Amino acid sequence: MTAEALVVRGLTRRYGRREAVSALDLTVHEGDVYGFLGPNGAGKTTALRCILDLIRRDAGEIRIFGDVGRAARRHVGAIVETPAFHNWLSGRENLRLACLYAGLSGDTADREVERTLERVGLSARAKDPVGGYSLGMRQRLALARTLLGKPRLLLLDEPTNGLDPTGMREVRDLVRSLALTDRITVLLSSHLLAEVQQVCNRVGILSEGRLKAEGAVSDLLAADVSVRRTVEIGADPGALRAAVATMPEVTVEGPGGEGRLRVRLAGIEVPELVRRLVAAGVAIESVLPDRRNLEDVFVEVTSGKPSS
Amino acid sequence: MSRFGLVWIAETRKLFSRPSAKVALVVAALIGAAGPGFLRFFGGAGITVNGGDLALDVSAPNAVRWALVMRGFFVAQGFLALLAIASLAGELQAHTLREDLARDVGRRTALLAKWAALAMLSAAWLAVQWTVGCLVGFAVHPATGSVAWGDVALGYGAAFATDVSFAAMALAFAAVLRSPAATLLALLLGIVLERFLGWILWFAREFALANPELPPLLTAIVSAGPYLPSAAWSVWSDVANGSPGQAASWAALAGWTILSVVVAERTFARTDVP
Repeated sequence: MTAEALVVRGLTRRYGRREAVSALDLTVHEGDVYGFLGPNGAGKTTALRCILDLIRRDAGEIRIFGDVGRAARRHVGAIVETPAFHNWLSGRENLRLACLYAGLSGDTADREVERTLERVGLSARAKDPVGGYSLGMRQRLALARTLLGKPRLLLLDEPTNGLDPTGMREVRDLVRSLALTDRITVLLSSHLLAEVQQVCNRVGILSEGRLKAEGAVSDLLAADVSVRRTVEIGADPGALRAAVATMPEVTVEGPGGEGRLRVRLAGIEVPELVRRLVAAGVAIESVLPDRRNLEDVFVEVTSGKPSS
Repeated sequence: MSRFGLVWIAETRKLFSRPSAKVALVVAALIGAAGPGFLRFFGGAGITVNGGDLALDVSAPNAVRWALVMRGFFVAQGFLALLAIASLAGELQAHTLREDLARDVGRRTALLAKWAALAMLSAAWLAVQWTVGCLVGFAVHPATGSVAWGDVALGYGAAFATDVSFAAMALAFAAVLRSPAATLLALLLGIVLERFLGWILWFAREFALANPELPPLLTAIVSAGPYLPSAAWSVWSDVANGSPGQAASWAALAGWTILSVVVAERTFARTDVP
């Protein structure tokens, strides 16, 4: 069994009478890339700030690799919302200052700065003032800063915020590589569900300050909480509608993507449907089962209704 | 090296890299040169005060002392206030403090390192001003005069102590108010109101001395002038003139410094870092 990298128990933070985070329990295992999901205002950033002791918590316990308090933060590198830098200093100088805060100095700090700059591909621009960096470069510099001192756990809050598709892909690949190559445990908070589905092996879904679902991505996708099953079929629409009209287990929902028709199945499996359609003389070009994705799970969990 | 030492180095590097700190050191050099320059101008101007010639000690030590007086006219305090605000309230607002505190660094350590960095800036200012003042002073004035070098040196030392105290109070304001603009406004307003209070107390004390039958409590209140922050922060002036300064003002300097540090530390420990 893998060790527990981050354990949060009963974390509560109130703003006045409103509970931004309410009795949150969360476990991230060593080696996980854990997706921390939730709609705006769900309490994700508040929870991360509590974990980092940036804001006070009203209740709860936080352990990181078994340590609590300041000792726990020794294991952590973090990006919280938009990374901030001293814009008049170069990227390298910003990292040197961060090294001192991380307890590194002298040659060790110099080596660490160059290693992390190299890791995020910023060595060539390291001497330029950060004020002139693009958003993507700032994000990569922030990742370099989190890697100083070789943390065992990265807390990344929306690390691809504001990036163009290329920048998002770069950061996503970097996070994946950090987890796979450097074996760093990652907690990734993001709105981008497709991104989380690609990168993370486990997710927790937060809504109204509470953890509503948690588990392996594959388990959540496999769990058919809704009874629906839809299929998109590429065929002549007229022939398809006529054939489906004779099948009480099949209902036409409407147009699907790229000229396909979307049908709902109840009590009939896809191979049987295909067999009957072929028997009815329908020339089928494609059959696309509508797979659940993380977005469906997210909508179901946060709204309490099956996603349409 | 201890973690405090490393964070102190970080804060000092950061502070000295700020454009306003660089300007402060240039101003320190200019004031260092201006002291001897003004003394040369006024020393030969034949100024008459109360019907008699103004007998100025035209010498290098007095010139360096003049530079200290010029610096004390809110110039150093202005820069220290700006830099203290930038290093705490400014960093809170710019979120750079969040990045530092996400590390395993205690808030007390970070706060004291910022204070120590401001002390370093004050020391650098005084060193630059002293050096430039001496160089120009020796070039244009006799090396000695009736003003003793020792008194001037002690005056510079006392100015360092008052700077450190003032920086602590500026940090306390910044920790409480958290907004750079609000902190600057509150500091300016506080200084003006405190000076105003000082004048009222001075007038009231004159009245009290002429009316010995006043209640002891009232007499004590009107005698509180030397305990005010402005009296504490100008104690260097007495020292540079060869006087040890009022004990009440030294006590006030220590008291206001401790109070400021405690307020800043307690407030900062409970602050939600955005």
